[in-house]
Amino acid sequence: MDKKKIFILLGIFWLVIIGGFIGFKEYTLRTGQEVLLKTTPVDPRDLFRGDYVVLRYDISNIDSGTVVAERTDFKSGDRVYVGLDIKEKYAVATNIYLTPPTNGLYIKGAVKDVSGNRFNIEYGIESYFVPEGEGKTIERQLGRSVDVKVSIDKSGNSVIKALLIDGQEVKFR
Amino acid sequence: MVNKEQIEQWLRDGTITQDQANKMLADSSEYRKEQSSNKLIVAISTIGSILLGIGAILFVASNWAAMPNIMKIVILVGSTFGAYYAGYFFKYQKQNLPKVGASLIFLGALLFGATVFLIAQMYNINANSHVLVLIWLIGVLPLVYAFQSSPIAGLSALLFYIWIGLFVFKGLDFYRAQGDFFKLPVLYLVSGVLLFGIGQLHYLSEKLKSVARVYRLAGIKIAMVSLFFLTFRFFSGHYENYGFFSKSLETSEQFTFGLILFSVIALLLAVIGLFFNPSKSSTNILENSLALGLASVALVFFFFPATTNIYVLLFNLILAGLVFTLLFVGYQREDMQIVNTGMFWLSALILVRYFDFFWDLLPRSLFFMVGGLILVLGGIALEKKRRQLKTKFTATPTAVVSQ
Repeated sequence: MDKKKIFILLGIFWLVIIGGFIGFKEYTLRTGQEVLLKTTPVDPRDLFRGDYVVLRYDISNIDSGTVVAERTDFKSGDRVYVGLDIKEKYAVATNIYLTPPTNGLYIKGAVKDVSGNRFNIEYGIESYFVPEGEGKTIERQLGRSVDVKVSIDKSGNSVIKALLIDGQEVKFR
Repeated sequence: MVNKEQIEQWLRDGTITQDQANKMLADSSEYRKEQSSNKLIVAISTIGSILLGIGAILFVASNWAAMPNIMKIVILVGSTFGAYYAGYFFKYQKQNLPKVGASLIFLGALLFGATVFLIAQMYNINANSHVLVLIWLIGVLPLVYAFQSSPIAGLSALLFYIWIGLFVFKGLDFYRAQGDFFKLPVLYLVSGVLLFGIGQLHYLSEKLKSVARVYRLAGIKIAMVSLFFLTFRFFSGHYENYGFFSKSLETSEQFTFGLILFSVIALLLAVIGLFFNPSKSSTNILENSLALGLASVALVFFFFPATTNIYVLLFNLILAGLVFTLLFVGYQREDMQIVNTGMFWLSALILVRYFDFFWDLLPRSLFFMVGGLILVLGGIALEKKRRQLKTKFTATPTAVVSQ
C-alpha cells in the first residue's frame, strides 16, 4: 500500500476514534433520561487535566441494608448496574444488579471497594471540570445544596449535564 | 550541487573553460542562497506550526467556558489534522523536508492525545481514566508502523507504561491498593521485559529496525528503574517490618491477572528470541536468558512473598549483574547509549548502597565528606571512561550498531 493511502486511512482511523468518542457521549446526553443526584464536592488539583472538582454522590456509597442486591460479596472492580428511583426530585439507589435489568432506570458502575455493609461504587461521573482557579469557588459552597444533573441512557451509561448550587445551574464567566 | 573546490579543480584540469566555471560558480552561489532561504522558511514554518498547535490548545483551555463545544472540537481536531497533513506533505508528498515532516507527524500524534483529553474534559469524564491513555495509545500505534517513526515509538512505550499504572489503580483507594502499590515495581519489571521481547520481534522487519531499538531500550530502561526500586527493603523486604503496611497486602485481581499475562507473554517472547534470534545479535543467548531469568524471578517474588530479606539481596545482585551486562554489551557493540545507561545505574546503585551501609556506621561529618569524595572522584572517573569509549567508538569505522 502506498504512503498516500496509509496516510488517508490513518486520518480516517483518527476521525473514527474522535467521532466515536464524541458520538458515544452525545448519544447519552441527547437520548438519556435526566436525573438529579445529590453530591458532596471535594477539590483536588490535577496538573495534567487542569482544575476539576471531585464529586461524591449519595449513590456512590450504598448501604446494603437499603437496597435489594443480587449479591453482596462484591470485589473491587466488579461491574454493577444500580437501579434508581426518583424520590423527592433526587435519584436514589434501590437495587444492585449484576446484569442490566430489563426495565426501569439504572446506572452502570463498578465497585470501588466494600467496607462492612457499604458498597463504594464509581460511575465514571466523579469529575467536574471547571475553568482554572474556579474549583475553590465550588468548594466554598460546601454548606449549600450541591446537585448534579446527569443524563443516563438506556444502557446505563451516564454523562454530567450540569452542576447546580441551590438549584441554580453553575455557569462560569 | 558541486562546490567551489570541484569547479576550480575541473578548471585546472582543463575539463571546463573559464566562462563555464564562472557560470557554474554563479549558479552554485544562487543555489546555496535559495537553499539557505528554504531552510529559513522550514525553520520558521516548523516553529510556527508548533506554536499554532500549542496556541490552539491554550486558546481552547483559556476560553473553555465561553466557547461552544463545536468550536472547541473544530479547533482541536483542525490543529491535529493540520500538523498531521503538513507532516505528510513535507515528508512524503514533496519529499523535500523529511525531518521537518517527521517532527510534524509527531506533533500530530501529541495533538491527537491533547484532543482526546480535552474532549474527555468537555464531557467531564473521570480524571485519570486509564481509557483515555489507552485511546491515545491505540490512535498513535499504527503511525509507528506506517511511518517507522522512532519518536512515536518512544511515545507509545511511554503511554504503555502510563496506562499500566492507571489501569492498576483504576477505581482503587490508596488504602485498598497497598498491595498493588508495593508490587508495582514487579509489574513494571515484567512489562519492561515484555517490551524488550516485543522490540526484538520488530527486527524481523528490515524497515522496523529503528522502532525495534526504541522499544528494546525503553524496555531496558523501565526494567532497570523497577529493579532499582526493588533493591530497597521498602519494596522487596519482609513486610511485617512496616507496621501500618503489614495489613492488606494482597494485590487486586486486575493486578494479578495483568502480571501473569505480561509474564507469560514475556517468557514466550524470550524463548522465541532464544531460538530464532530475530535481532541477529551476537549476545542473543545472554540477552534472552536474562529476560527469561528476570520474568521468572519476578513471578517467584510475586507468588512467594518474602519471609526474610533475601529478595533485597537478590535484587541488588541482579541489578549489579545487569549493570555489568549492559556495560559489557554496550562495549562489545560500541553502543554509547547502552554504556551510558549502564554507567548511570552503576552510579545510582553505588550511591544508594553507600547511604544504606554507612549512614549509621560513620560519624555524619565523615559520612558526607567521604560520600562527597566518592561522588566527585567517581564522577570524574566515569566521565573520563565514558569519553574514552565515545572517542573510541566514533573513531572505529565499523561502529555501526543498531541493535
